[in-house]
Amino acid sequence: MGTPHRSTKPIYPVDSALPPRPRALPTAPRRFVLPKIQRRFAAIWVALAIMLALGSVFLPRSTDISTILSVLPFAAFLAIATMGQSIVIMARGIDLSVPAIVALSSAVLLGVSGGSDARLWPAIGAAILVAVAIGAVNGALIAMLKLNALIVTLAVGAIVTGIAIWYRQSAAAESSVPPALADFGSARMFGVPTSVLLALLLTLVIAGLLRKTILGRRFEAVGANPRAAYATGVETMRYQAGAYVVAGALYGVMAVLLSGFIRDPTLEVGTPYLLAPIAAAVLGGTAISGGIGSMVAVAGASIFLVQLDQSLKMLGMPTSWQLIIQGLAIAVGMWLSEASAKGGHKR
Amino acid sequence: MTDLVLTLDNVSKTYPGVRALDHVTLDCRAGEVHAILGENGSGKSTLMKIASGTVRPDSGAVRIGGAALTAFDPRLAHRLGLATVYQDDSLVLELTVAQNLFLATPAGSVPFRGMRGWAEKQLQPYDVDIAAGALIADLTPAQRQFVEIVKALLSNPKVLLLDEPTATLDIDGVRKLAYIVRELTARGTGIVYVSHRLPEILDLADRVSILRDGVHRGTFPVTPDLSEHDLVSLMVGRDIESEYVTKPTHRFDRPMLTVHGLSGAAFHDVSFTANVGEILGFAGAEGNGQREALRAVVGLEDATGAVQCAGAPVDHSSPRTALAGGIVFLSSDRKGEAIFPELSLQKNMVLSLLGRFSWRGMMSRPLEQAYAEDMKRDFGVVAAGLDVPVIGLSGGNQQKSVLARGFRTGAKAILIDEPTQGVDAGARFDIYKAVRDNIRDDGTCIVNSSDAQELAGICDRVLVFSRGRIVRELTGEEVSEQRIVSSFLTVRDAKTKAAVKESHGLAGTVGKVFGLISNGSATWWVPLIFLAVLTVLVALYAAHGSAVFTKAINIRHLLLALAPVGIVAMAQLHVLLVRGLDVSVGSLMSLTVVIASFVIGDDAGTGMIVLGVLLCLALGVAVGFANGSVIRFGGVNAIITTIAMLSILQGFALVGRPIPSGMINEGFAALLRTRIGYLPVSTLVLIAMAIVGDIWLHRTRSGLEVKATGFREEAARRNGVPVTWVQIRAYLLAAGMAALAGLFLGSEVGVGHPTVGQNYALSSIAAAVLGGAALSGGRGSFGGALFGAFFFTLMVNVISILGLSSAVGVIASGIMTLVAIFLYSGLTEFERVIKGLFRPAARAVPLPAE
Repeated sequence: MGTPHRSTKPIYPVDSALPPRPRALPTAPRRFVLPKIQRRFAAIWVALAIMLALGSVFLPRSTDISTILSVLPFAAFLAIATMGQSIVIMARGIDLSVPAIVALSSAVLLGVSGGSDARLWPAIGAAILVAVAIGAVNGALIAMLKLNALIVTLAVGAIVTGIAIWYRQSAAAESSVPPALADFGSARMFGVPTSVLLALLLTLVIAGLLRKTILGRRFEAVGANPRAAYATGVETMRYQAGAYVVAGALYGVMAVLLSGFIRDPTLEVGTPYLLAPIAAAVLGGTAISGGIGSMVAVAGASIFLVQLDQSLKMLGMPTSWQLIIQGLAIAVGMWLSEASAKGGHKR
Repeated sequence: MTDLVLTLDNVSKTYPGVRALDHVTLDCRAGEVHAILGENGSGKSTLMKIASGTVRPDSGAVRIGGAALTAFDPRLAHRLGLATVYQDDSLVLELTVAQNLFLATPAGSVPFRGMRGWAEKQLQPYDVDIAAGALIADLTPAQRQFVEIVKALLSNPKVLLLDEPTATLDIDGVRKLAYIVRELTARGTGIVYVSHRLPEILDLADRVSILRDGVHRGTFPVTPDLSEHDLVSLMVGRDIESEYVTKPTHRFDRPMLTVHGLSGAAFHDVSFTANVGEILGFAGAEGNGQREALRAVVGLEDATGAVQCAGAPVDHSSPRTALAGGIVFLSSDRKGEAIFPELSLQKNMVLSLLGRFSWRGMMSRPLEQAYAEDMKRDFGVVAAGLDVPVIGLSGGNQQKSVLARGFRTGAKAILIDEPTQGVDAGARFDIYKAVRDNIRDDGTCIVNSSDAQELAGICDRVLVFSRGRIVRELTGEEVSEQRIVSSFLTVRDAKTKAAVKESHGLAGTVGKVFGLISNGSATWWVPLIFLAVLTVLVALYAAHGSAVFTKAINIRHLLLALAPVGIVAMAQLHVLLVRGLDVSVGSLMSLTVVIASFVIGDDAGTGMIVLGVLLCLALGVAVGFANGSVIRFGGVNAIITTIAMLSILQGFALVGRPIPSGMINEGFAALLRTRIGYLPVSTLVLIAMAIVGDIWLHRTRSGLEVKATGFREEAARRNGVPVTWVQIRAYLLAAGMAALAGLFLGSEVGVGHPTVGQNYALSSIAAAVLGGAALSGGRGSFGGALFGAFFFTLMVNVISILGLSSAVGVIASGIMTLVAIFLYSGLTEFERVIKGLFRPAARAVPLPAE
């Protein structure tokens, strides 16, 4: 063992140069390896299938194509927010500022556009930019000053809520999104709502970034063990802060789509997104201990939660039960994921 | 026939990949010293843990003083008459010597007030010169060791376990320890003495047992004709020669890594050169700066000085820059700082070479796998596959994977802290060989090890550290276990540490000023003075800006509004003290208000009101119990648990009252708002609660146990503090008090408002932290939390009085929270960031000319 590979070059910059190897480059294995889907990520799809099957038997209305199509946009919004939350959780954080960011973002969208198509693009840009900026503040406070993520995002959330209230008071009374955005919000492509297609695209892009790129791999390492990542030469702080910035961008995109869908969003527009993304992230197998998460699985969990909510509504339960279900989902999901992690260790 | 005070019968224990103990049978008689001799990893520590009840064996039985240890619980072992002196200290660093000793006594045996004098009396017979009022953190490792021993002897144990008691002691300390041991055996105490220092054992022990690779190799009475050589060969099991790779015989004269004048907090003016092909060892008794010096070379400790590798200056400000300069460091804290436990073996190994199989940031999966397979084979990592989580591998294989990653970065200098800690005997040889092979032609290696035998076996040259300086260099024939150990035990460096440099500049000054007022401060009254000054300033400003502010009705209003915030802040403090966090208090308050609107309705009679109040409080207790149980027994993170609880409680509140409705009994509300003159009774109740709370926290054993649990749970547990109960009780009290706060809130709003409490989670945390509570547990005061809440309420009051928009109030509460936690924990990091910005860009300082 221990064949040394040495070169005559003095020093390698990290990760760049390929050292000359005495042997031929290792040949790629010929067999095609299917990416192994971990059990923790597969569970939510099984649960979704079971729920749809039960629904089609006991509550056929809930699985009607028209019901599904009306529910899917909400799943798309939740999925986008959940991806943001999952990325933050993968970096060992938590983000309770989502409702505030969504509220301010949509307020800015209304304020800048003034309801006219002419200023649609600057308004969308400003709305997303505001969300990114708030994410950056979160990230700087949490990653650079090492402050507690829960308290920082709660406090930043309060500040942003205050700003949103103040901004809405001072801005014009006009409170409808530009018609073009509203049209886009209700449009369909190939029979599928556009927001759903956009969410799908975002899911695939982010999943790809996390799985296939150096950036994603290092991010995963930082989440799995930040101290080891730092000792291995990864710029931990940048990845940790970056998680909140990317999450902020996703919340911003989500706020724009959601505003377009409801047309006249109020300051309460973000309220459902405080807890639901956390529930969906946990159900999608994101590990609270960091590093482990799957964007595809959390998208599945978002569909699951929204469909569950819809089914309950059809059964005549008040919407508030949604919160109780989410709370139980978080607790049970966490407990299962802890139990499976422990079981894995014993083997 | 003497009494057996400890019997271990046929105990076995297996850890993943390692047979730690294999049917070991041992006993210890009253009045004897029974030494257990074995190398690192021979199973000694596991044996001690089983005897003391901290680890459950897979099979076998333990008897202490004739009684069977029926449950593997350290408290039971302690009751049966066994005391343990741990190798890694089990003291709470933030508490005093007296408090630590006090915690180890059975409840009620020593009065809390007489603690100090009692502790001095306990320390006196041992002639150890330790002040009872000193903080453990300020003691030397040797002094801590003696406090440990004194603590263990408090219970007059029948059998005492000493686990490597001399590791941190100098010659004088060893002598003192020997004296104590003889005293004890004369009194009839049995002593189990674990060590790998043979001379000491032969001096003290009556019998000696040898342990190797988890197997008991025999027990021998210590007689003058017991052969030292036989013992060593039994312990090592084979020739020492064959355990290590043969050292090269040629001279090393091509410098690879040069360190000049490296100074930091724990080491001073460290200079050395490591040559191509050479393995350089760092030796010294634990805590003499050798580990910190090694870590400083890659920037894991702050240090000044110059580092040069392969002829070029190296920026040693972070591991990343050091790696770019050709230096890689492998930590001794494998699980914490070297591996990514949940990630696969492949991802662990290739992390430092991602660039080699990527194109524009996109990784090639087949190529990555090929690289990983190559590394796995070359470094002989044994694993079921490349995709198994690395935590599932044995210690040896984990270390090999770390080694593979380190060497394949192409680094020229590899620094390894404890290369074979927790590694089984078989894998050790592989590791030594891999190191030797990989540095032969153009690399160098520095090893820090607490195992002198290992250093002697693999190093070409050894530097001995004492009090942060290199005091001796051993070369050639001098590199032997005996010379290494004797040199660091005999060195007498009378020089005291150089004064720690004060931090300079803006950040330093700001830090000092705020360090005094910062929350979580060790002095409980400092945050209170800070708050008092702020309160006076705000009050003056408000009184100046508005005539209404000083009106009696406004003051009364302010004090009434204080009740819910004050109570919930004190509730939050209970959880913060044990290092937890409860974000569900706000929604619990909302739910309480909603329930009150049903059960304490307008037409409720006195009986119904009493019943309703009890119901609300019972709900709080139940919620707290659920929180605490899920966190402690379910092993779920406190934040996630209380977020889930927040969701559930908020859901129920909204189910009960989808919109604000339902009046709360006015008589009941008026009762809670009773006043004497201008002063609401609730204010007096609050002050009384804070005083009672603070007396409990600072003047009783129970409060001390809470602090110990918050500071260091493991140490508290070892001292017999029922930590699980302490934690669950904290959540119980927090939720119970939050429900009470909810009742006061209900008396204020008067209707069943389902979301009225949603901002109280934030304000409770902010108020407690402003009042001196630390998020890291153990610190805080109820008076402080109440004062913090008062300041919070005052700010809200002033904002509304001055006619500012409600938005300002929300923003102010957020800003106050941020300021509070920034003062508590952000400052040191802020200082680091500032320092980093103003530090001269070129930290890659060239060596001074010779």
